[in-house]
Amino acid sequence: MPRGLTRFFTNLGWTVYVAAIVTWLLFPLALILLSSFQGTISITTDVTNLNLSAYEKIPDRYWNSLWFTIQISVVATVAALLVSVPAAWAMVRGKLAERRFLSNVVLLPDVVPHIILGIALLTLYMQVGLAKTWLGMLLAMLSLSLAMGLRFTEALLEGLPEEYELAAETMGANKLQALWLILMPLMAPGLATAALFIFISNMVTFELLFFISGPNASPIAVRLFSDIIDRGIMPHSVAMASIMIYISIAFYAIVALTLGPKYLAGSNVSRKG
Amino acid sequence: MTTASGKATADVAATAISALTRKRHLRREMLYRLCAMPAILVTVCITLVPMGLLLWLSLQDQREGGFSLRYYIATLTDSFFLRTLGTTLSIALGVTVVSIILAMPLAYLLARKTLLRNIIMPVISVPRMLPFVVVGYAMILLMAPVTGVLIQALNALGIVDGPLFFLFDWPGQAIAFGYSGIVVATAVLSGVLMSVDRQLEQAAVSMGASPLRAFGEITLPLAVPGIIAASALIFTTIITAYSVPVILNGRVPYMISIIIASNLLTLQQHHLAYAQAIIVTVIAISVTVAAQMVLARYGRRV
Amino acid sequence: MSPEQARPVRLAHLHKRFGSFVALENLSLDIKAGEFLTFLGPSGCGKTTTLKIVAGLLTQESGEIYFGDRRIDTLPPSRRNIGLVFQNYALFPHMTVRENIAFGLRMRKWPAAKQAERVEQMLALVRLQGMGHRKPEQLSGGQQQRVAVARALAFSPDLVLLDEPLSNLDAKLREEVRLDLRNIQRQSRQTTVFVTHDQIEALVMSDRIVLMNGGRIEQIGSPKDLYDEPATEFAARFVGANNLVPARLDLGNGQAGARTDSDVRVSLDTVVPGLANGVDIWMCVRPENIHIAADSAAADGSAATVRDMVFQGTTVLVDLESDGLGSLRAELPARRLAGIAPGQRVGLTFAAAHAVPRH
Repeated sequence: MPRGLTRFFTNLGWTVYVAAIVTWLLFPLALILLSSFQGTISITTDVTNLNLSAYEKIPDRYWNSLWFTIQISVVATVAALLVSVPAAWAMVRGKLAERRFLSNVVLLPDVVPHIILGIALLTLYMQVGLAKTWLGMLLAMLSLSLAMGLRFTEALLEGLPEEYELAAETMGANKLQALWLILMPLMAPGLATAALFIFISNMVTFELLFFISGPNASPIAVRLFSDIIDRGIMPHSVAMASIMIYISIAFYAIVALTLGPKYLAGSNVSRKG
Repeated sequence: MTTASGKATADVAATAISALTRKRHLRREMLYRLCAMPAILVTVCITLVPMGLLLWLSLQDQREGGFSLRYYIATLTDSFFLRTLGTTLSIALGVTVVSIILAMPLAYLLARKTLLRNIIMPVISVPRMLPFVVVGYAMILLMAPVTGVLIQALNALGIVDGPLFFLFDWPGQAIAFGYSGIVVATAVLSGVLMSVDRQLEQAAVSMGASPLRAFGEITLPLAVPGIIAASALIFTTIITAYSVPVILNGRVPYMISIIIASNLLTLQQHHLAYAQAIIVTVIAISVTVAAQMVLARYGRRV
Repeated sequence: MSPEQARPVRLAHLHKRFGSFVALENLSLDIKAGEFLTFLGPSGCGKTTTLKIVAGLLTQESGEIYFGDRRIDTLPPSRRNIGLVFQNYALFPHMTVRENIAFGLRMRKWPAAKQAERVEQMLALVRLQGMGHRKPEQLSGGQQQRVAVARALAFSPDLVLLDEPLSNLDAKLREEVRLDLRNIQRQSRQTTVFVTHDQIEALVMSDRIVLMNGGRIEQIGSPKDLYDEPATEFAARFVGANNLVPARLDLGNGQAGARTDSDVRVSLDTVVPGLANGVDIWMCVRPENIHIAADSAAADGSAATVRDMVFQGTTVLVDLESDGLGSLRAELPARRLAGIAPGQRVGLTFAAAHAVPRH
């Protein structure tokens, strides 16, 4: 076969393959969006009758749930970073002998399956009365956020040569001044990225929080799950699911615009659904 | 401060003031330890203690108290549990392999072509930051026996006639896992392939290898540790998944998490559930640790 | 930058170990106020380790450091009043050039007006006026290096330390910058310690050179001392090109000489002091000190056969196989090539022959 023709078919093959996979990945989400605008789970190709009726039917308890999830996600993210920045600094700069061990300990929540940890937390919480409370939920989220936060901040600090702080010290700055005037400004962009990733991961956590959730402490993922079990799939559920998709799109738009798409590859954002 | 002569005096001064330096270093070390303390504390309280409690209770008789291995023995001899565990592992393995294979060419393309990556990567990353529940919703919309878009399309095209019930059987769950698996595989594998030096491929091609050959003989072997890490991640995610198996559950539970949850929530067999949870944890951690060890020995951190 | 700031620096019996590896062994040294001292040596000789200990970034096992009569090794780096120029410059990326230079002044709480005035002075000193508002990433390598120097000098430290600051510059730039640094130091007259593995830099820039090897000082002296009269075999080989011929010291009849095993005798112009008659020595002759005469019957030394000639622009390298002194390499000005070609027999005369102990 002449080279031009081979090249043509190769390119065609590639295009078909890429289109197929991208379509496969986006199509189900598009279905959710379409269904939310059609107000029915029996989707038709009729695009003329799009309306927001499904969105209007979203009950208060869903909005409360979403707001609750946002609140504890933000708090958990901030708390995680507040704790992991000094810890990472101690581990990377401190040259402690036990550094490897400490690092592995804090990363444990990542190795344990979320559902198991959720069950374990339920067991513990029942003893101390934290089951079905917002505080219990916050703490659970915190341990996961901490593991993510530490991974981010450790990588961040390892990528920052120690010379900057040392230079500041030789010019008269004490350790605290070196941290505040030199290290923190240089870490700030990386920390902002970390905060974004940790926040969105918190928003979508499910298996960890399911077992310890209750009527007053119900993240949106748990709410969407319970409703589909109890009532089947309802238009307002689909509408809320669409909102979760919008949130994810917004997140990636922010990341892509501020950092460049390079940050999206790689597994430092391992997520277990 | 200025002592003049006398080597003896100087010696004493030397050791005494060197102690000052040593004290400063010790204080510095204390500071570092203090900074790491909150993180350790949180993890101990919220991960180690509950897991320890879980392990402890799984070895305690639920009704009579006291040490007992009965739950472990019961589980490991329960054919229903073992069969379900088998289906869980098989589905997980199958989906993992298929996901890796399907995602690999795309991951390679994204790793090498920057422009394409800049466009496609954000787009296909959207499914990553969604609760898996939403994927469950999508699968229902797609494959529900009567109203599912796929079913309707197949009926309209005349390929099948009437409803198809595979959604609530293992194919439905496998497809749902596959969806998520491809998403994760693409992201992780493109990172892995990007870390393989492009110049190595170019060197191979300049010496006469076709691009496919270069990929197979140079890039792929170098990417193997990363591929193993990605596989471990996908595999462990699937075997411990809960939300989608419940949503798409049919008459036969294929995934082990359902058995554990029903023992815990419905059948009030708490300690049995704990023992089963520990067993699944051991499996999951073993897979992860094994992959980490391979990665540590042969590859770079992904 | 006033001369009375400069105080002598004394390193006393510094000892540093990394695990079982001894990096510095009982190192003692007096650094004169206002001098430009270079630590020269191969990788791993301990020069950077010494620098870091003086700066306070490493702690020694034993030994003291004094500025004048003030002991400073017990102080943290922030209180030693030292200016350190890092190999990679370590300019703060999030601050402008001006803010970088002013940092040390800020730490010392200078009033704002004085800071601004001093920053302008430093910018003028390193010839970067008008660049104050730029960020480091907007500067070339050579410009970044000059900012790093300005930053270290701004607060008039007791001691300026430079850790191989030229190694990241390309060759042409390196030549320019090393003269720049030398002139800046001559102007400011601040005690300066410079670390490098490049012996040409050391020769060009220094008042004195400390040659180090394996954690010990091999030789201290002016560039001329080190070049003309190396004290050890290592010094003879490390600094500049050299021909080393094994021989024995012959102190007979007034003029010291080197006698080889093949009984060729070469007169020595200088010898390392304190050597007894008959000891093993290396006879050292620099390539530029071997004179070649087309007539092979010339005096002193030997005849030789020309093996190869390499053109180098202003000079030519001539590889010689001499009768009795082994292989030698000479360097001639290109214009003195008359009558010399590969394969030819020539006569050799030696100038400035030197002897170091041979072990």
